[in-house]
Amino acid sequence: MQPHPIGDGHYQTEHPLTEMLNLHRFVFCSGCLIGTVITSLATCLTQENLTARDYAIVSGIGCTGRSSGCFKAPAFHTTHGRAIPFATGLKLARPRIKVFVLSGDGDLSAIGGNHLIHAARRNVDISVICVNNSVYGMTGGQAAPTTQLGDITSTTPYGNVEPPFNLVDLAAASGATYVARWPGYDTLRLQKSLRKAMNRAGFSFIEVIVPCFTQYGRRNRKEGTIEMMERLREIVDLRVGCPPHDAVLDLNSGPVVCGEFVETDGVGFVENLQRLRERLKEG
Amino acid sequence: MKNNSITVEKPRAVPAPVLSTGNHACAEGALAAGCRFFGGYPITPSSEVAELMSKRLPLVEGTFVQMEDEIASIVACLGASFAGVKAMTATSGPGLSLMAESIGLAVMLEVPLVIVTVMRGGPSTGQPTNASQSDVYQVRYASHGDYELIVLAPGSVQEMYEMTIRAFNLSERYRTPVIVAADGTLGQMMEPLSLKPAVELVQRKQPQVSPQDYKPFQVLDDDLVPAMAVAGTDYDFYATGLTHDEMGNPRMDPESAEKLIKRLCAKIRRARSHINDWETYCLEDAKLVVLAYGINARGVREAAEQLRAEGHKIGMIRLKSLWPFPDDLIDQLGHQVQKVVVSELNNGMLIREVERFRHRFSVAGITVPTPVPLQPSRIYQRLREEI
Amino acid sequence: MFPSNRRPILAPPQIKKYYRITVDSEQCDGCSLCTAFCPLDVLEIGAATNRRMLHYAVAANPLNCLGCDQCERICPTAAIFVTEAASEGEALA
Repeated sequence: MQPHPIGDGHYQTEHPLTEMLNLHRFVFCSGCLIGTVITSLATCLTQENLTARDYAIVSGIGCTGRSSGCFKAPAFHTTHGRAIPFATGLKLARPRIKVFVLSGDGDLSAIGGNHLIHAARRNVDISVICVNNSVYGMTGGQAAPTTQLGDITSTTPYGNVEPPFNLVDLAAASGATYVARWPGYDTLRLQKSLRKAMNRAGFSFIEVIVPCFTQYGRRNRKEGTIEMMERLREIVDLRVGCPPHDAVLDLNSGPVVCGEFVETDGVGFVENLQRLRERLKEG
Repeated sequence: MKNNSITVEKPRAVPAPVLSTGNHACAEGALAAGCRFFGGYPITPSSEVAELMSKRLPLVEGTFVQMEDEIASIVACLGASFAGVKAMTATSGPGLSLMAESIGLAVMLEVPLVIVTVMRGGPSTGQPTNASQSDVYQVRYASHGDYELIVLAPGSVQEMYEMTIRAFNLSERYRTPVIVAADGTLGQMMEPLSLKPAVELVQRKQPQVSPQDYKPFQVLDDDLVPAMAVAGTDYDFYATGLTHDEMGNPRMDPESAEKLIKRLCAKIRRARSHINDWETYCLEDAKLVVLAYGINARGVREAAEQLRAEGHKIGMIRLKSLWPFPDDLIDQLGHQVQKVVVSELNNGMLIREVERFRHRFSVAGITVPTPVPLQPSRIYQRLREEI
Repeated sequence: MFPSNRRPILAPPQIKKYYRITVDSEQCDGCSLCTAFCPLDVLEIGAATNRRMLHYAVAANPLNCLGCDQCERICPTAAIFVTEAASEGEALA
């Protein structure tokens, strides 16, 4: 809610996020919730009074990969799967800034899988927002490591025979100290989670379920964005205190367990390195 | 031309040369050049570079991270460079193959970055503990796409130190990745190293306009180098690997591609006279010139000296930078020289660049894909045949 | 026991808050997420089209708006936002 405008015909004509976002770079399909994830993050950044000098956004390749350019900040559109090591380098070289990785499930868990587990292991102080649409959307709808069993994609025309990742479990097992999953339409909980992630040390992993109606829905259930969201809402199971290995994600028959799964205090990698430097100074 | 050059005094003057390996000399050079971030992955025969950096960087408030693979290493260095910190990684042939795509990203984003490759035998696993010069084309053309790259070729431990510093300066000056192509012998052998008390350092071009007016890839100078804003300042910018315009907007039209690629290539090609470096021996009256680089140049020099002593009009060029290839230098030889012999530790790579001038002089090769530097006597024998 | 004859002097104040819904017609692409998320049928996809020939969202019943901000939060293109209005006139302007 914005404060009351001036009156006498002087109304606020610009969207409150105009200073935070490059609105001409929203290139997503009409109704795709990637845009919503972007605006949610932008809202949190605005509420925390962060400007271009305080943060950076790094993305990989894919639909979500185009999201970094939507921010009026140092924004990096790197190569496929390499957003996390790029963010690691940024953060370690300039620990003061908050570094966000905004990328897709394929980018982060397939080609980028190795970097994901190691950054989680090191507890690198970055916030990774994984937009999970269980498919490679931008390139035409190929299967991803998160595609459900039996789903039709452009590279699984007879139905997918590979079991999918449970990304929450993967991140948690690798050592992430904050792991959460939210449906893409639940903007309030997502924003609360983002605020928590950006203000804490250590590796934060937030998985956001964003249905892809253009590639995935079209091949499997022939639905549009509203229908896919209604279906998602039916099967979402919000839980408190659920352990990561119980974070079931079954987009077809449910449930899609959402909530915060891991929230522990660990020493962030930045602090780890700083402690090493200090120890050397004394010794 | 806005060139930010400063001279840095080392805190303590080193009185006498120290005995150092090539790898350690390279790390010393990086530290002297102001490198404060190293993202690396161990690979024989370059691991010692990482090892020395891991010891020294935390002592100078720098950051050393051993990443999970070579790809993560170079990409982390890209990130660090965009945070305003000079960054370096060190690897060998197999690792550079993995880094190929990221080199292209570094070129496209115009990131200052130094990559040291200590060449070893290949292809594939090859002979990790030996030397080689068979990555000559790999260092130039590792990535896909149309681009130019700066590659330096040290020939001694002292040059490992000095050329690493030069690599940093060139990378900052031209906002480009620079590769230092050493080899396993050079990396492992020990020679006296004189650390310099004062080093001239080049810093990247800073934006001269306000954040509102800043365009990340706009060139305002003849050198075609855009000013570089980094994260953590008031500047916002979009750095994308997609073909882009000067604002950083992704552009899929043909004109944008042509314009961008031509500028990126011209940026390096225009500076050839500044980048290219070589050393000559008895070139003035030479009728036959031997071209060599790296560790192999030592044996060639000895053979050339012996032939000179016998009265043959032989000269030698030792290349200290491999790419951009010094076309002008080789072309000049056409005025006086009858034959150019290229000697390298591979099955014939840089010789192909020289063969482009076959219409000016005849070209022969002493090219052996052997993992140890050629014996001077062997080179002497072959050169005698060529005279 | 004894019925009280205390009565309020004035009727309790009825505070009606007004909200002004602004849609950037060029930024909106008519995805209709806002209309689906609005709990009170304030919004609809109108008949008019923008420069991209897309129908965009309009506030058909702005006086029903209770300022929940759902539309503003869900919009994937940051095309719609809600502000407090001082009066009914401002809400409709």
